[in-house]
Amino acid sequence: MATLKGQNIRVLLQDGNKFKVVGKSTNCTVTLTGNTEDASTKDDVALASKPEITSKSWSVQVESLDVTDTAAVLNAIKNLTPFTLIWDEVAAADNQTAQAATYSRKGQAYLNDVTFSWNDRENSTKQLQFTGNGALEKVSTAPSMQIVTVDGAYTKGQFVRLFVGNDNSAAPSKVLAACKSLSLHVSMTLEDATTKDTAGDWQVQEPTALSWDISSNALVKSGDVITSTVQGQDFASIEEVYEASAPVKIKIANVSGANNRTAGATILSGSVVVTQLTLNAPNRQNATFDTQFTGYGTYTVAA
Amino acid sequence: MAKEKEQEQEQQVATGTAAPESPVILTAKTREELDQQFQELKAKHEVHTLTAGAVARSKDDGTYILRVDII
Repeated sequence: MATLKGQNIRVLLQDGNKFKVVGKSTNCTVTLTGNTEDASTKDDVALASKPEITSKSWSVQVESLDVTDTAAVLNAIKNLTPFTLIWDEVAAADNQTAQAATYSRKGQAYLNDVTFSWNDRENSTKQLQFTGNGALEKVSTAPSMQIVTVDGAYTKGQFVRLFVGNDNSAAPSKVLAACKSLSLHVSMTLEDATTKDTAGDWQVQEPTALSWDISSNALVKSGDVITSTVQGQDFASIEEVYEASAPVKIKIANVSGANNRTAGATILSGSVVVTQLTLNAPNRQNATFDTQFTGYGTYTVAA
Repeated sequence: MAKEKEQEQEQQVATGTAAPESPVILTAKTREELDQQFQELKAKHEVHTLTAGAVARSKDDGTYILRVDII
């Protein structure tokens, strides 16, 4: 029998009374964890441990090339939107029709970690992590599916850019110049909220804290070049932001036009502090700098 | 409480402020046209919050696609 291929196992998310695959998915991982305590005692003559499973938890990661729903995902994690998801085998004919495989399971989960990457001259990606909240159940009948349109549309990373302000009052109008890579990471901390009231072994989770950060890598160029051609922020001006130790306004927006610096619809805006600035100067290679911006307060998802 | 909510929704419909079916998928042959469509949508829904995803481009026919959620 042929080995099942990864494209025939997909994560399905409930939408109304139907389920949909995560579109343009490139990978998914399902992790089932048995949380253990060592139950060996002095009564045991041998030296070996005896792990006893005391609770069970689960998580699902999905990677995709679809970033057209960035705003919806950013709102979902912030608003603690609960998800019902299934992992299942799908028919090879369309890779979207669920089969209710014997190993298929269904459960409630929180979306608790997302990363969007918009890298220059690459297809943009998103990574979603769902953490199970409560029990998994077997999927005995194939769920009703809403087929996702295959539109063959992708987002090249150079058309989404970071704009950084000089302070926390004026709207950010300057792009981070000569940027090579940009990623946005949002994490919702979950705490185990399982108590004696909880039936069964499955852990239940409670969201407790939201954090977000932006990472970038850009070439180090002469400030004069940046000023005359791009009107952007460079290593020198970002270092000034770092030295000021104060939040500045930022936005991540769609861009077009000359130098890809004309802002279109905003994806996300907020305030950040520069928490790490790294200058890289390898021999016979372009000098670059990495910046980590850490979110200060919540972010706004409004175009 | 449910009645208040119902009245609020009826009032929104009456004044034309109720959020329409969302998301809206904008498509255009050029970026300028897409941005224009987005600005028109924004002007039409001043009372709502509009959220936008990243602009994608079809590898088949070069069409630009923007998903907008109206909240």
